[in-house]
Order: sequence, then structure tokens, then C-alpha cells
Amino acid sequence: MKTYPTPTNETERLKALKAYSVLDTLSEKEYDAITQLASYICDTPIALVSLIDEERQWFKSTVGLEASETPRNISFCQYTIMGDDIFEVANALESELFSDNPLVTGNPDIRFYAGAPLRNKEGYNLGSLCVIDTKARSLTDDQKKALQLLAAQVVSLLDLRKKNSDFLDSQKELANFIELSVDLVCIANVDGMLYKVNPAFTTVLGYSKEELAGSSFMNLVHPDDLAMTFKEVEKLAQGEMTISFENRYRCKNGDYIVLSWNTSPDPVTGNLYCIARNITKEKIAEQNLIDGNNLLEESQRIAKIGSWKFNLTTNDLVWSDGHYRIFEMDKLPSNELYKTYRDLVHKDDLIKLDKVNEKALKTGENFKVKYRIVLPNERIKHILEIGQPFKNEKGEVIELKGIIQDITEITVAEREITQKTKEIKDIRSALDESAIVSISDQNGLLTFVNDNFCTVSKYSHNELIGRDQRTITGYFSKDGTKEILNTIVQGNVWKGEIKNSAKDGSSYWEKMTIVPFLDEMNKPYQYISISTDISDQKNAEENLTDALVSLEKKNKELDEFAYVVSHDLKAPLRAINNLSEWIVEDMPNMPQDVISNFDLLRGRVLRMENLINGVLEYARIGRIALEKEDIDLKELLDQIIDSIVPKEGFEIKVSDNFPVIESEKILLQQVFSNLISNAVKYSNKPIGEIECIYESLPDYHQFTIKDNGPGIAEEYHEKIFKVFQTIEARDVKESTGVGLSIVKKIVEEKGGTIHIESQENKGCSFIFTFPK
Amino acid sequence: MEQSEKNTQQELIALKKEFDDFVYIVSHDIKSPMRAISNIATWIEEDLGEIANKDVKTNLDLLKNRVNRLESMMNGLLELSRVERTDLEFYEVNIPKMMSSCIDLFNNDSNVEFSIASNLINENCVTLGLKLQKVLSNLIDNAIQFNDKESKKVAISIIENENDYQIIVADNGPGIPEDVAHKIFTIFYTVSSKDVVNTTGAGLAISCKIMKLVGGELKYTAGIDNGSVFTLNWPKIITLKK
Repeated sequence: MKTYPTPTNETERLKALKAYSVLDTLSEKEYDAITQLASYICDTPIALVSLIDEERQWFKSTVGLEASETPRNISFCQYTIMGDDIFEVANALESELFSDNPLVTGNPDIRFYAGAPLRNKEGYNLGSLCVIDTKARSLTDDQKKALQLLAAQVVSLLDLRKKNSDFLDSQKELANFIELSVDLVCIANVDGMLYKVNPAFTTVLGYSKEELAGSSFMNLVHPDDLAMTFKEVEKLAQGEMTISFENRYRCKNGDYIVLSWNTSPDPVTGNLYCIARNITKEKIAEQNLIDGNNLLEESQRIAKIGSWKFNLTTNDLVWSDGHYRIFEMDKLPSNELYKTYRDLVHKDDLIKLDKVNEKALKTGENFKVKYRIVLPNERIKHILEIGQPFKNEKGEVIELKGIIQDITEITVAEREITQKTKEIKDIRSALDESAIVSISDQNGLLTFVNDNFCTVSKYSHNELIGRDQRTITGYFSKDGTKEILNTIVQGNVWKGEIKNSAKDGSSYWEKMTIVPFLDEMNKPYQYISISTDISDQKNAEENLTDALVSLEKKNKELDEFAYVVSHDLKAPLRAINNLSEWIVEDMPNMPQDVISNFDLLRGRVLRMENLINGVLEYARIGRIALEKEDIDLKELLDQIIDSIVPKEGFEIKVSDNFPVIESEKILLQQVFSNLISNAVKYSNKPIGEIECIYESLPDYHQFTIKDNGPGIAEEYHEKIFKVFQTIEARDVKESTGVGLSIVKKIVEEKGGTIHIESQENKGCSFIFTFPK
Repeated sequence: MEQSEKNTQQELIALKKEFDDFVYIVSHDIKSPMRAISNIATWIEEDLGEIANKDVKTNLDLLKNRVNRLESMMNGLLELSRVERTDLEFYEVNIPKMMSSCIDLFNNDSNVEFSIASNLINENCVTLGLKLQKVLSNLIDNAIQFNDKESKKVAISIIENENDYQIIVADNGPGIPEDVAHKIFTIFYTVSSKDVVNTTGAGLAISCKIMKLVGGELKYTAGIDNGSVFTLNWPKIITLKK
């Protein structure tokens, strides 16, 4: 079997051949000219440009041969490409390689062959330029040289062709690239007029090519961005080769999109090559990211939250701004932060914190811990930390992440709440201790009663809860209930006294305060009633009222009694007096001793009448309401003195300072009259001296009636104010003895006092006061 | 509150004392001039007894009468003032017997016809006997004294209730005009002038005070055919109410 030669670099050679894209192309006169020239120079009927493909030799150009290709294995050229020189076969019939070759034995009856390899720059033999004759012969050296030159010319042609084809491809690629680009690509002339735009302009901005062509690209810039855009374009004029900027561009639908521009000028034409990308989405995303970060930052700030991350291998600690803010620190490098952080934690809490961290590392569970930090100015903050351990693929905890929260205010508030709760509890128990407390819902049903309530109402706890207080212990009248309800339903506090009935039917009084508790709508949702048992007080009041009624009754009774008695007793007295007078008148010759007996009789009758009058007067003091009036005491005294004191035998002195006071005239009149008439009555000196003195005390008027009479021994100082006490026998001085007791009674009823300053035989002073 | 109650109580006590004082003063202190008047009147009567003419004698009689009346009024007042202080002994009383003895005091008048109806479970009871007797004799005295009929009738019924004895004294006398019925328990009040019926008008006041003291009740009602009906409820258990 025949073996066929194959170049060592066959694969690469074939690849190089294909790159020329020449196989199976139409004939070209440039190649044909070369084959004709070769046939002419070498004086052969046949000349070929043969390119060795994988399985065939293909002829780009032929002279003197009809075929366009032959199988590679029968080709002469396959041998040509194996070497760098001309391959020549003088007589094929004599050649071992070709004697039986069908091209030799049959048409075209090849006897002579000479081929020059078509060797390109890279050294690949693409095929050959060969000349063929039907007669055995050989080429001259010149002919060979010429053939080689022509072969080189073929290679040049091929190279040229390839170059052309590459150029067209790249041209096409560029066009495609621009056509298909999602970026906006345009060329604007020096005046800024768009004269070439790619379809992206239409898809992105919505304008048709026609609408855009000829318009200035500045027309579509957002008014606010115009100045900036001009400024950028200006830079090109100053020699910058490329400018990059962003501006907003108006779409056909009116929206603006953000474009990122890269623009370069053509140094020759001055045209501007511009590429722009719609970065609206990126911008929005970027803005969203910024907003998101701001939001996060803001929320951390508001919520007093910070976040942190701790790398366990490097001990690097990273904090968010919020974290720094809570710790009131400036930013620190992450490798220094951990130490500073630990220094801030309250010593007592550090152990706790470490324990929690340790546990989290061991178990891999989330943790939550509260601790305190001490700021440089000794201020303490309360921190709540929530952390989460993160593991690597080996299941080891390598990182902790978490958040902290400043719970200082909450902690302080909680502490206050705890304190307040305790306070409320204390108040409540104090209240329970002291008051009767119940709470009822908005329908008046009891929801709470304290022990005092049970004790006083004599109901058990269970008998009361859920019942309507008004029906269970309510005793008060319908009108009373209505008034209470009207008050508290409107959200007002009601205070008052109500009578309740206990379980055993007895009643008890409460002084009650009902406070409605209002919801957000200002509607009462429950009522708390706090009361004290005032039954004792009420009973006392009732007793007092009874006593007062009884007192009044007794008063009246006594008054009437006194009147009746005096009146009735006086009737026979009068009769006795009158009868005795008539008898004396009827008997002119009556013996003297009988006459003196009658005198005596009438004297006793008079005394008796005086006694009765005195008693009556005494009984009436204080029971008759008198009107007050302004009294000029000086004037009053003058009148009294004038009517009581005899002109002869007495010397009266009245101080000038007696005031005008408001009081009941009749009472003062009685007091002064009694005292002055006493002084007159008991005077035992040739000239009786009576002195009336006034002195103003802080709260009282003080009056003194002083005489130079017999005086009163101390043992009688109290006694003489009793009714019917006279020191001398009644026969010496006709006096009822009622006078001083009346004086005392009047003075004391007015709230004053009276006493005597006297020694026997040294005169006497009655000193009494009247409140101002 | 307590203070004012105390004050009121004190005032009440003071008032009661004053009341007592008043009665006491009137009945005691006025007693000496009264005695004197009475004595002097007797002396004058003795001195003038033979020489007086008829007019003087009449006036003298009148004078004596007034002195006597005054004296009995004073005695009435005194008795009234002593109601709460005297005769406060408890002893066993047979009620029908006591009633009979009271009637006997007035039975010398043949014009009086007594009828007694009693319904007693237990005739005997321990009580303030003298006080009960006083009240009963007062009522019977009045029933006879003020009776203007030829044939005087006094009907007495004694009923034993659970808590008290109810004694009703009814007469066929003139009765008491309705408009003055409320005054009859006032001391010295008499329906007719004291000159018509010689009385001081102290009896019912004293009886009434006794009834109040023992915690019982004395009521007047008009009889069916004129006449008076006095109903007396005498409590079995006596609590002194001063």
C-alpha cells in the first residue's frame, strides 16, 4: 500500500489555510494572470495554483486543465508542500511514485511536473504553484527561479485577500457591536449636533433616529444639569482626551433617566464620539442603598441600638456608628476596640459578660445579656446585648455578631415603676387598713371589695363580688342614687354620706368618695369607692339632734312653766293684797296692832311677788332672742344713775372712756342697774361713792363698778351670785336676792366673766367683762 | 361633734337643774313669806273676829280663802318638785285592794256609784306603790270632784297586758271641752274658775309627772256620753326616767 506524505504541522497548516477563506471561491484574474505567466515562462501547457486541503487539492486558478480539484492522494502537489524547494518530476513514467498514477496513465497524461510551495509568513505550505507538461522534460534554473517568484506572488495575493477579509469582518463586528449595544452610542459633530445614533437611543430614550438626527444632544439634558454638562464638554476644548460625566436626559415620555457619559473627540474632524449608559437603575439602587443605610443608621440612633461584629481569631471588633454613639466614643481601629470596650464595662459585670460569651462559644447558642458601662465621667449606662455565634465549615465558632441597645432610660424607668408599684401597693394596703374600699365595673357590679367592706357590711367576699352594690347594701333613696349616678357617669368624683344596710338588716353610715376611672375616650370603665364608717359619728349626731330637740323642748317647757306658775301664783297674791286694803279701808277704827299686821301682811305679799317676778325674770334670760343695737354706754350709764341713785348722799364717777358697743341694750341695762342699785342699796357711809370704770382688754370690754360700802367677806364672793342669796336678812333690806344671779347669768351667757374684789368694810368692786 | 354633744348634754342637765331649782325655789323660798302671810292672816282674823262687821267678815273670809288657795298651790308645786325625790320605795301591791282603798277614801259620798271590772292574771305586783296610789286617788278624786251630776258614776277597769297594767277611769261628769283638753296636765290649770271648784289644779300635773317618771302613760279621751276617760298604763318593769 502506498503511503502519502503529511507535513508534521498538518493540523496547524490546515487551520492556516482555512483562515484565508479562499477554498471554493471563484477564479480571480490576479491568480489567473500568475498561472498564465507561469505556463508561458515555463513553456508548459498546464499551470495551476493548487491548495492542499485535507482530502483534496483545490485549484484556485488553472491553465490548460479543466478539473477544479483532484483527490489529494493522487496529487503531485502533496509532495511539493513537504519541502521548501521546487519539487520536479522529469518523467512520470519513469518515476516510482507516479508511474501508475492515473493522471499519468490516463488523462491528462502527465509526464513532467514542477511545483513551488506556497509558503506563508508563518511558514505553512498552503499548496503549490505548479507547471505540468505531457512530455518529459526539465526546467531551466531561470524558469525555476521565476516559478518561485510567482509562487511568492500567489502567497502575497492570498495574504492580501486575507487582510481584506479580516478588515471587513472587524468592520462588520464593530457595526454589529454598535447596533446591538444597550449603551447609547452616538457621534456628534463639533456643533454638538447628533448625526449618528445607535438603536439604543430609540430603545432607551424612545426617540426615533429621525427625530434625533440633526438635533443638539444638549436639547435633551435636564435643565439643572446643563451648566455642568457644558462645563464638562468645555474640558475637551482644553485638550482633555476623554471626559466622563453623568447627567439626566429627557425621554420621549417625559421621564428623565440618568446617563453616564464617556466622550472623546476625533482630533482630526473634531467630531465627538459619545457612549452613554443608562444608570438610572443603578442610581436608584445606589440611592436606595444610601437611604437604606441612612435609615438603618437613623433607626439605630433613634432606637439607641448599635450593632457589632467580633472576629474570634483576630480579636477584631467592628462597631456601627450607633454602637459608638451609645458608648460615646470616637471611632477606633478594629484591633484596638476590643480592649477599650472591655475597659468600659463595669467591673462587676465583666465576669457575667465573659461567662455568657463563653457559654455561647461552647454551645453555639444565641445569647442575651445586660450589663453596665462606666463612661469616663463616671456616668453609668445600662446595655442590653443580644449576640449570635457564627461557625465555619468545621463547626467552630469563629465570629460573634449582635446588637446592643441602650436601656438606661428603660432600666431607670423600670426601676421607677418597681418603686412606684411598691409605693402604690403600700398606699393600697394603707388604704385597705384604714378605709372601706370597693371597685365596681361600669355597670355598677362589684369587682373588688376589701376586708373592711366585708366587715362593715357583714357580707362575705363571695356574696359581694359580681353583685350590684346599690341593691346589696344600698339604702339610699332613688333620688340620691340618681344624683350619684349622674355625677360619676359623667366622669366626676362624687363625695357624700350614704346610709347602707348590712346583711343582718342593721344600717351603717359611710362617708364616701367615688372616683370614676376613665378610659382613653374619657368614659368611665370602673369606679372605685373609698369610704369610712361614720356610723358612730352619725349616731352621735342623731343623739345630739335628739338632745338639742329635747333641750329646746325643755327650754320651752321651763319657760311656759315659769310663766304659768308665776302668773297663777300672782293671782291669789293680788287678791290678798287687795282684800287687806279693802278691810283696812272698811274699818276706820281698826286697832293699831291690826293695822301694823296688815302692813306686815302686805309687805310679805310684796316680797312674795318680787320673788316670783325675780324667778320669772331669771328663768327668761337667754330664752328670748333680743336684737343687737349700738349702745352708747356713757349715755346708758347716765340714764341708769339718774333713775336709781338718789341725789343726796352719793357721789358718782363715770370714766370718760366708755365706748359705744353693739349688744342687746336690755341686757346691759339689767347688769348695770343691778350692780349700781346694789351699791346704792347697801351703802353704809354718809356719802356713798360709786365709781364706774372702763378698760379695753385685747378681746374684752372690762367694766368695774366700785363702791365704798360695807364690802363682802371673801367666803361670800361665790355664794352671792346664787339665786336668793342675800347676806343680810331680807327684813333689813328689801331685796329678792335674784339680782346678782341675773347679772352673772347675763354676763356668762354673753361669754364674759364676773368676779368680786372686796374685803369686809373696805368697799367692793364688781368687775365684769363683755367680749368685743 | 362629741364636744358639742357634751355641751348640749351639759346644757340639758343644767336646764333640768334650773327647772328643779325653779320649782324648788318657788316652793321653798317662797314658803317663808307664805307661812308669814298665812300666820298674819290668822292673827288678823283672831283680832278682828268679834269686832268685824259683815262686809269685813266676808272680805276676811275671802282673804283666808285666797291664802289657803295660795298655800295649796304652793303645796302642789312642792309636791310636783318632789315627785322624783320622794316615795321611791318598791313594795308588793295588790292592785284591786289598792283600788278599793282609794275608792273608800271617797265612798262617804252616797251619790257616787263605783263599778270595777278587773281582768288580772296576777293581782300582786312589786312596784312604786305610793306613786301608783297617788295617781289612782288623783284620777278618782277628779272623777268625783268635777262631776256635776246628781248621781255620779265612776267606772273603773283594770286590764293586765303583757308589759303593763291598763287602768281606765271613766266618769259621767261634764267632760273636758275639746279646745282645752291639751292644757289639763299643766299645773294650776283648771277648766272652771278656781272659785267654782275649789282646786289648785296640781293633781293631773303631778300624776302626769309620776307617769313620766315611771315610764308609763296617762291619756285623756272624751267619754261616749260626755264624761271623761283617763287611761293609765302602768309599766310592770319600772325604769325611772328623771
